[in-house]
Amino acid sequence: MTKRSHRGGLPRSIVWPLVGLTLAWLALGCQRSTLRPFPLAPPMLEDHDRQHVEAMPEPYFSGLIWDFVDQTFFRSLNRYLTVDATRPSVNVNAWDEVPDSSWFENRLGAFELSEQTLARGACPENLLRAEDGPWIVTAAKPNGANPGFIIRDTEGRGWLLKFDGHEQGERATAADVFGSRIYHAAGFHSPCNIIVEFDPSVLEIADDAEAEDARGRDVPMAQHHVQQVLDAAFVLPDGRLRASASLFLPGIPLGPWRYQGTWREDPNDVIPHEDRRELRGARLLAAWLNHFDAREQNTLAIWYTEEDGTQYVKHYYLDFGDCLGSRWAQDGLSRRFGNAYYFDAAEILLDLFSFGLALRPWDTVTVNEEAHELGYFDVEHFDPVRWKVGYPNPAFVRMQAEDGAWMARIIAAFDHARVRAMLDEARIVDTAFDAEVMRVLMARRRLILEHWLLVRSPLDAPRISADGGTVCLDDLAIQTGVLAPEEVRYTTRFFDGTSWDRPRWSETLTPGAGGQSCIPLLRDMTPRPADVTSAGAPEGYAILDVVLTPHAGATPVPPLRIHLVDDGATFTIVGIERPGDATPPGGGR
Amino acid sequence: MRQRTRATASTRPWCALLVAGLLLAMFGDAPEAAAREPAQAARDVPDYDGRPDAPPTPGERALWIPRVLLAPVWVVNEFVLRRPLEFIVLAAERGDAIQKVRNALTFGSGGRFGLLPTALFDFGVRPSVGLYLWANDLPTDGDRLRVSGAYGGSDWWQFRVRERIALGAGTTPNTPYAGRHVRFEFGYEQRPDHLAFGVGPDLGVAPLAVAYEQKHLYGGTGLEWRFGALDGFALSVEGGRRRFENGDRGIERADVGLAELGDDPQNRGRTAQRLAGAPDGAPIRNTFTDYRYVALDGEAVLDSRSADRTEPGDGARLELGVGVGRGTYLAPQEQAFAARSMFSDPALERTTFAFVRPRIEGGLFWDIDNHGRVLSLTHHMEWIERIGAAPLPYVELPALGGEAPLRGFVAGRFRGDSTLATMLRYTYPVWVSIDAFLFAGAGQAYGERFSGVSLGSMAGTFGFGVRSSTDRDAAFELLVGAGTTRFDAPTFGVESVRILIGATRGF
Repeated sequence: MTKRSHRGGLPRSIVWPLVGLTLAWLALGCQRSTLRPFPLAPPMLEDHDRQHVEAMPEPYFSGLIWDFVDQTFFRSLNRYLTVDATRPSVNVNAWDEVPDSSWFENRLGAFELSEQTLARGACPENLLRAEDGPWIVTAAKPNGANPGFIIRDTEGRGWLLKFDGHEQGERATAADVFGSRIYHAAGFHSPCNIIVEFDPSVLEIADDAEAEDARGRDVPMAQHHVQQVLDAAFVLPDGRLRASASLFLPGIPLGPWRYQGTWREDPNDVIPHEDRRELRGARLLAAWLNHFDAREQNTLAIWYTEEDGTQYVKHYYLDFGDCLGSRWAQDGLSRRFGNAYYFDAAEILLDLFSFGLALRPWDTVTVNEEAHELGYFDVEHFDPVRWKVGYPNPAFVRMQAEDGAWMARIIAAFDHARVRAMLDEARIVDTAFDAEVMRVLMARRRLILEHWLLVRSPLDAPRISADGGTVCLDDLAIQTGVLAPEEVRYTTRFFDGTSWDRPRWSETLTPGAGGQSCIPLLRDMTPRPADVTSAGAPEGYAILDVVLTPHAGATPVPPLRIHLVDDGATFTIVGIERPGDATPPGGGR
Repeated sequence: MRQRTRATASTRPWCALLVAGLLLAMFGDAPEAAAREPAQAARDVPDYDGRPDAPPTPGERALWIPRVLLAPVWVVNEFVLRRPLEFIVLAAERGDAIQKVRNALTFGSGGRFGLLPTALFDFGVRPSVGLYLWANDLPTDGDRLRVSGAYGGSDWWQFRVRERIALGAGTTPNTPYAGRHVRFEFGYEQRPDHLAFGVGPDLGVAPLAVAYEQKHLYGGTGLEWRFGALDGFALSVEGGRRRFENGDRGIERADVGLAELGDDPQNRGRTAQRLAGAPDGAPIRNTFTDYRYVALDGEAVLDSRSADRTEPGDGARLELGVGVGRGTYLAPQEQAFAARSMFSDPALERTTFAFVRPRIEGGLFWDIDNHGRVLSLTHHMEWIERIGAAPLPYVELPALGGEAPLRGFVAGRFRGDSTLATMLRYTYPVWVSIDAFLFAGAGQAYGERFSGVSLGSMAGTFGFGVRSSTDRDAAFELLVGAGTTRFDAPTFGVESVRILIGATRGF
């Protein structure tokens, strides 16, 4: 007869073997961590997820209310119940970068792009102009928070026109245009959003045009519907009206894409979206602009057709009108944007049971005194680490340090001149507003870089010199002014497989001019014994760690780890890692 | 062998649930993902860095232990709650049901008219559900019509209508309560769950309560001069009729008291005497009955605080009010009712009563950090002066508890010719338009002109709650409060606990 455990439940004959098996299973993970060498191959620069798809997926319906409820309550709870320990992003190549895909194309940060190119964004050469002829209004939404209408230009292209409203000057249209430029420059797909200034006489109502009434019904459009929308327009000093115009995307809209899971109907979509580095890292971009409305309804999957007939699903970000300090009717909510979710149980409980003793950011935030149009968009209350979107975003909540550092390296490329060029596209009339936007943006960028650039090594773009024996690096922390070059020190450690725990040589260096430093790899040292090929690494495999110390006495930043292969004549970089600590590649024993 | 069989049977559901949970956790798909099978096989997951995957660490492996333990809860959250709700909400959104419901509940441009369901659970009295209707700018700009109804059973319901008509300038949509208004109001209430505890401070350690039914029909009009949302003058006149009958038997403390007494009318009469604070056999004072009344009420409120919540909440408030009332106990045609009622006193029929009821309330408010964390100290005094010899109806006596001061007690817990209470309250914001509050205080109902006031005779109250602060007409409130025995009671302690959840009544 089987004995039962003391308190009932499972029999002891089951419990103890189960415990033993569990311990043994856990012990399997206690093996010494081994070096994982990169293959001698170029990094993956393109993720081939733009392969031809036979059938267009059924459009996805995104529930406005359900998404909020789901993300705020159910999925948040599920993350706890499944003890969701975030693993590293999946789509990261051997160079610690994200390959081009239907989601993302490396632009700024990977390449030198002219300010003109950045300013153009996703826009074609010929833009919408009032002087080119009538704009045919085909649909209107005169009610709600974002009144606007759809027009058809003389070339037959569709544009969505949106207006500023009466509360925050030119902010909404400026944000929509500027946000689209920033996201595009960072590598995301975004629409062509431009500012248009026009006389209402350019508008003509199409015969079959419809408008949405206050009760959400489509009714034949009348002049008063158009006028109702135009009443929300910012009026320029010369009497013309200002709007943002968004060019219809090329392809068939399939509804929003989601921030979690994969879309089974899209055979190219095999990486869970919450594990895509670019979607995780987009949290920093949203934080920078205070794009608190970064939810799935502000995305769009497009059934895209290439010139050669290849069809696939392409993924866009849309609607940046909330950026740069949007305020809602509920002032208490507006004060919290960026610092708390719309409904934030953790913050509510903290306030409730701390009896209000903690002073919170939304207590002290004030409307920007230099430019009231910016609302609560400021520097003083911006926390780049704790920043929150409107409600939990599955990709954002899974952002890890390496994802944040990756996006920070892209944001580092947004220098003053480039941001200025993109903001000029917003054509802000109020010079004080324009200057304040610029000031706040650059200050928030610096706060982002001061933290996220240093959670992993800010050393970037390693390359082998022409002679094949020297590796050169860019220090983004120095180049962006986050660290002072005269205080920075680098400690290099070279491992050649004789031991992956003890470097063959090590030395301390100072940064080179302009934040660029070069480290000679060829040293006069005893050759590695021929029979040493540790951890299955190929012959000639070596690793160079470069550890950055910001200033004397400071905690070193974890290393940039460059994986090299020495073929006897030259070194080749085969992989780059930015680990979270300075443990040697072999595990440190 | 039999034992092992039982053991296996008892563990089988858990094992099955765990296995099912794990399988679902590993292989389960969201409904939207499973909606349609792809026509084309998915591509292979690329090997992005060309390296084999890192083996799981011991920590990552150990996470499976809590995962397995929490799997049943996850199954419930995912499959019992989330997915069915997803199906329902998405179906509703697809069918534009949200807009349809909104259209059904709000109408007019900018939501001028609307209808909201309400509910109130005040443990100790009956829960109720209701509807709240608003109509702004009706009939003209600045006017506000409010209608509320509540239902708590076939013998429990309330109905109330109030129209505030703006007079002249000073009233704008942004400051709807400022300016001059004339107010019209009428309503009807029928509730069998009012509680009577008796009169005065000497009701014992755990006083008996008797539930009574009140039928109250009333109507009136008034003039208001509001300087802002918080201060101003008001003058109103109201007339109505109240009648009383035996109330609910479903109230715990009343059950105790009445169960001991059975249905014997004499015993019930003695209970009523005890509640009224009179010795057995003595004439019942302040009895319940059926009467008509008319009352004139004047109020002046001076409040130095700003109604704008973004401004500091420092300030002082002084409220002076006086009510003058006259009523007549009703008449022989109510004899049958009076005979049934343990509260009635046939000798009072056709006699007239009259009273003057002054009240004073003052408060000091300190916004500790100018961010809505307000500490306040308020003092409340109210008393009644009889005009003539006729006794006054019980419910016309000043009271504490419920919505009145001493909120840790149920409504009407303290009644007397005079009441006083001092409350310390700390209010702090916890979310958008939601404040939490802590309160503590003491007070008591006393005899004529505060006779018998002493610190030891007071009862204490304390508690906490949260309350919405957007709409002064209909606020959501959650309150957990407690009331103590008198401070000088031989066994001082908590006498009662009050829990309230829901939309508070009134406009």
